[in-house]
Amino acid sequence: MTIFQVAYKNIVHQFSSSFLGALLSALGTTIFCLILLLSFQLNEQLTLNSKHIDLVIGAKGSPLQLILNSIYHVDYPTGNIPLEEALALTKSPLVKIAVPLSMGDNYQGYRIIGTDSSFFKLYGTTVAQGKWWSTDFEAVVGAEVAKEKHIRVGDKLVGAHGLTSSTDLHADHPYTVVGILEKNNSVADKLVLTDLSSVWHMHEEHHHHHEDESALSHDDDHDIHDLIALGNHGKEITSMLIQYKNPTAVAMFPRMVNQTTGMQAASPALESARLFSILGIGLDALKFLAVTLMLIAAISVFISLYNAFKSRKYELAIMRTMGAARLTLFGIMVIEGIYITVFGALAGIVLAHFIMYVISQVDNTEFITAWQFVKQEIWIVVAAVLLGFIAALLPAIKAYFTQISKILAEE
Amino acid sequence: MEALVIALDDVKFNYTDDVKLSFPRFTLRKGEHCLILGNSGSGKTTLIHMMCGLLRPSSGKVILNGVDIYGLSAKQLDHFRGQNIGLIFQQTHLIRSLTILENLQLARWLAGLKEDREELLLVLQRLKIADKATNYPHQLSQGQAQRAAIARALVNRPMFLIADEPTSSLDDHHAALVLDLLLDQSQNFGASLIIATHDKRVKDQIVNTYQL
Repeated sequence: MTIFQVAYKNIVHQFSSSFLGALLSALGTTIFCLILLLSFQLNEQLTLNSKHIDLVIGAKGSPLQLILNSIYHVDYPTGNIPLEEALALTKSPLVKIAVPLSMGDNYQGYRIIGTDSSFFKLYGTTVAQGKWWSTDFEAVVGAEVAKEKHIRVGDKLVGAHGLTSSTDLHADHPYTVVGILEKNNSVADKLVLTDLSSVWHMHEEHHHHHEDESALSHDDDHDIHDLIALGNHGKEITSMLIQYKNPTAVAMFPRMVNQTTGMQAASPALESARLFSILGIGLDALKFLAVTLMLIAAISVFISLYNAFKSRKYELAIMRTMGAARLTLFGIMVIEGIYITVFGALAGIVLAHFIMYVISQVDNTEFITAWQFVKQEIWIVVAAVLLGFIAALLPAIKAYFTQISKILAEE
Repeated sequence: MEALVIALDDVKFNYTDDVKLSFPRFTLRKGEHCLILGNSGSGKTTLIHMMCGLLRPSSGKVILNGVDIYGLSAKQLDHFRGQNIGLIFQQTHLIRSLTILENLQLARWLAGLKEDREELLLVLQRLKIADKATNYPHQLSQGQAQRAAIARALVNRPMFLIADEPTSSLDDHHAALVLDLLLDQSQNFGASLIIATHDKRVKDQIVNTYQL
């Protein structure tokens, strides 16, 4: 028999009143833990995808939009930049790798990106099956695209105009899949890659068809029809990913681009930090809710222990007659409180990971790994211990100062 | 004098300024049993609580087996009580969340004694409730619960078995059974039995009486 067993047996005995406290504690913990896991994994994912990219050069506009579009492939492009100008920048001795990106089409929701072989160097990915493209209208698809759409080498893909829609099909110019990329957990898994010139050729003709139409909407920056159009002065691309040769470029290169060219340079590190601070407000609200739930849990534990105390004071007095020291009773009460909140917290952590698992199964996203644990989860448990202790403190003090003789005489 | 295991000298207890109880000298020799008789409100429970170290007397000394128990620290007193005194009440007061065996284990743990499962089962056997070892108190009949409470009081082989009104809520038949049990078992475990009661039925069995 130990003090822990006595406390445990009593909680089980009073299951119904202990349960509410544990449940509230579990809910609070679940929310808190989910926030922790999601923000941790989101951050990790953001970092992973921008790991080797020091700078993105694109058309003027929102730098965050440029980053989201060119690195994470989620937002719309800011516009086009002349290839010539972009290439001129890459001649700088500060640049190690420069990857041109040209976008505007999609294959069933997956973006078709025109680029060159430097893309594979930057993302450190290789072809798992098949080979690289060698001519126009040959494509290499990312591992996830291949898996989801059951694409094999040799299949033909019909791209659609725009980044998401599937209405305006390029049925006359299908791509032939010549290779499938090795899975590397980066955004490359979700892209269809082809040569820059394929995208240009596709739209040379396309542009022609819609000349009048595009002239009408000329001033609309976000008209996707204009984005990939060939400019009058030569070929255009959407953006260019830059990797520096050495860290000193951080200070000079972006300023040089922004001041001397008509293009803008955006830093992935700065922009993802900014994105996170925007998200942070929402996360803070959720954290507040979680903390509130944990506090209510503590109050519930307090009330149940305090109420139980009335019916238990006799038992506590009996335990004193059996030789229990005051401190032993204090300890039993405190441990009971801690047991309830900690049990709730542990259940909450398990539940949070289970929810992550469910999300990852439903969404089939690779970015959520359900059974990854973060250090802060230990702090949640520590916080639960503290809350349980505080909740049990008053009943425990009452137990400590129980007048045994008085209670026994009340028989 | 050396044979006295209990000596209460000139003990007084003041409930309020108006209600003051003073008790005549109380002594008990080794191996003797004793009956504390008195009507309700005469101070039987107060005397017993003072004897057990549960209630500090306003004045006077309580010497148990040569130890002035109110001269001990609070922790030492708890320890002394756990090891030397087994208490039995009118109601059984077993811990509801624990099985009968666990109640006994608790008594040994609280007294700071080694848990000896064989010994515990032996005690339960002597009180003929070994088959109820894994039952919870609410699953026992009144008589079984009474036996379990006695088992718990005796499990640490205390020097004193002190019972406060153990028979007053029982009918004649059960009162006689419980009394026999208390006498038998205190003999069995070598404990001095002290019973506080206003129950006249108990009188015939114990010679030593202390009238309040």
